[in-house]
Amino acid sequence: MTDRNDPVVHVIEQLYAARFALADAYRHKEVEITSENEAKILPLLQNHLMARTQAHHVRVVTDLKRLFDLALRKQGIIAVSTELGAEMDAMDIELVQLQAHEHCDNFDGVEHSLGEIRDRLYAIYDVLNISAIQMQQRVSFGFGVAENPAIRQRENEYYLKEIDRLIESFQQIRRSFEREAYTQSSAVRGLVSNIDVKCLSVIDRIRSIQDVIREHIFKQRYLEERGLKIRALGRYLRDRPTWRPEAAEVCAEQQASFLRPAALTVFAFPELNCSLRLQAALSAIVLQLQRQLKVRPEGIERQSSVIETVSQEARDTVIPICEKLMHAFLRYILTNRGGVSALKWLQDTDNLQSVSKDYWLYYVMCYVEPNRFLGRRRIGDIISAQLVTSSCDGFDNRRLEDVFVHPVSIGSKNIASEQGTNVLA
Amino acid sequence: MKLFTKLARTLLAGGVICPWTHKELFEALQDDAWRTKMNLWLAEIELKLAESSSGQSWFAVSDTDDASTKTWARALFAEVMKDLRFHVGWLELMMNTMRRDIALSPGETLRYADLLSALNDNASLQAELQAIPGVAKEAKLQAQLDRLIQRLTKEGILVEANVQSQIYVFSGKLEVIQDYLVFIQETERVPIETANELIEEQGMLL
Repeated sequence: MTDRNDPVVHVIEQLYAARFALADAYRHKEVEITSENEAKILPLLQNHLMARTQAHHVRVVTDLKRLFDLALRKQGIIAVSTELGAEMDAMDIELVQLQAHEHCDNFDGVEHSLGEIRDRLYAIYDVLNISAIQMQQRVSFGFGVAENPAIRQRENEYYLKEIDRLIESFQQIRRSFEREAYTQSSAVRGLVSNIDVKCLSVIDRIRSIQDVIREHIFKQRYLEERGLKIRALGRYLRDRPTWRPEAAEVCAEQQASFLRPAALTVFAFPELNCSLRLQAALSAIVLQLQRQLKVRPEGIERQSSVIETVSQEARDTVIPICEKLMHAFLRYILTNRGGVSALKWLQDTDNLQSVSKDYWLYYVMCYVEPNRFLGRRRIGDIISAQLVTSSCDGFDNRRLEDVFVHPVSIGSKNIASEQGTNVLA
Repeated sequence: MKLFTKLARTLLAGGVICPWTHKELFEALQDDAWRTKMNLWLAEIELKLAESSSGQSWFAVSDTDDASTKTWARALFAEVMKDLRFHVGWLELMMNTMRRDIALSPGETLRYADLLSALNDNASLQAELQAIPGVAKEAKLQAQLDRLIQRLTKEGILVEANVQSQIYVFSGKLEVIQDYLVFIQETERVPIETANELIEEQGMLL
C-alpha cells in the first residue's frame, strides 16, 4: 500500500490539482489564477516548478519548461525561439546613444553606435531567419508522421501557433522600425532597408512552411475521406451479401483505372491463297495430323461402342459440303475414266455458289495427297493429281489455278500435253 | 533490355509503374520528354499514359471512345468484381490493425511482426481476417496471415522491402485498387457514416 503521507504522493496530488494552470502557464508563459487555484499551486511554487510574477500571476519556471521541451523534442517539435524583446530593447538604447553622439558631433561615437545598431539588426534577422529555417526543416522532414491522430492534431496546433508567433515577431519589428527614432537618421533608415530586403527570404520560408502544412492537411483529409468510403463499402457489402454494383458497371469506362489493358487477345486467320509454299506447308501439317489422329494400324477393327444403349438418341452427322462435292467429283472421275479439271467440274455442276473457287481447289489439293487413305486404300493407288499454278507477285510465290485429277491408269503426260500449262506433278 | 522496351512491355501488360516496383521506369516517366515519347508511341495503338489519383503511379489506358472501350472496361470491371470482397476485406483489416483513421497510401511500410502481434491480441481482428475470402482455408492464425501476405505480394500490391525482417512496402497498385473501390462507392452512392454516427452506433451496442 502506498503511504498517503509520502511527500512524493503529496507533490503528485498537487501537480494533478494544478495541471490546468500548469498547462496554461506553459502555453501562455504567464497565467492569472484564482485564489482557489493559488492555494493548490502555492506548494508547487515552493518546489521551484512555478514562479510568481505578480499578485495572482504565475509562470512556469525554466527547469519545468525544459522538462516539457524534452518531451516535445522526442516528438521532434521542440519550441522555436522567436524572442526579440531583448534585442529591440538593446537597439533602442543604442539609438538614444546615437542621437546623443549626433547632438555632440561625436563622429567616433556615431560610428560605433551605428555599428552596434547594425549588429543588433542582423541579430534580429538571424533570430527570425534561423527560427524559420529550423521550422521549415522540421516541417519538411517530420511533419504529420506520427501515427497517433491525437498527437498529429497537437502537432498541427503547435506549428500553427509557432508560425503565428514568428509572424507576430516579424510584424513587431516592422512596426518598431516605423517609429520616429528609426526614421530620423538616414544611416539607420539605410540599415533597416537592408534588413528589410534580407527579411524577404524569411517571408518566403514562412510561406513555404504554411504550404507544407496546408498540403499535408489536404492530403490528410483526402486520405480520411478515402478511408471512410472504403469502410462504407465494406459495411454495405457485409449487409448485402448478394449485392452487385450495376450502376458502376454501366459507367465503368469513366474511371481511368478500368481502361487499363488486360491480357492481350490475339486472333489469327490463315490466308490460304497467299503462297503455294505456305499451302504446301499446310498440306504437310494436315497430312501429319491425319496420320496421327485418324490412321489406324491394319488388322484392328472398330468395335461397337460400349456405351451404346437402346435409349440412346439417333444423331445425324452433318457432312461438310466440300466433302460431299469431293465424293461426287471422285465418282465422276472413276465413272468417266479420264482426267478432269476440278475447277471446270465445279463450274459445270453449278456448285460455284456452294463453295468458293479457291477453297475448293485447296480442298482438292489436300484431299488427293497420295499417302492419304480412303477407306483402306491409299489415294495414290486410286487417283493422281496435277497442280496448275501461276506466278502471282513476280517473286517465288505462286497461285493455285486448277487441279487436274485422273485415275492412276491414265498417264499424266496426256493431260499436260492437252492443257499446255505450267503443271506441277 | 532497352529502357523504352521495358516501359512499353510493362505498360502493354497492364502494369502499374511506381517507385516501389519499377524505380527506373518511374524515374523515366517523371521526365516530360520520356512521357511525350511514350504517349506518341501509345497513341499509335490507341492507348495513352494515365496516372493514379495521387500521381504516384503510371499506367496505360485506352484512348478511344468507341464501343470497344466500353467492352474493355466492363471486362476489367468483371475481373475486379471477382475480388471485390477480398480487397475491401484486407484494406479494412489493415486500417484497423494499424489503428488508422485514414486510408493506406503507397510507400507505407508494413511489418509482419507488428501485424501478427496485433492480430494475436485482438479477437475481433482475427474474425476480420477469417472473413476475408480465401484466407479461412488455413486453420492457424499465422498461416492465414501468411496466405494473405502471399497473395498480396503475388498480386504486386505488397513489395518485400526487407526479406529477413519481413518488412513490406505498399506499391502503387494499392492506389489503383482503392480508386476502383472509391469509384464504386461514389457511383453507387453507398452512404458514408460520419464519426458521430459511428460513436452513436457503438454507444447503442454498449
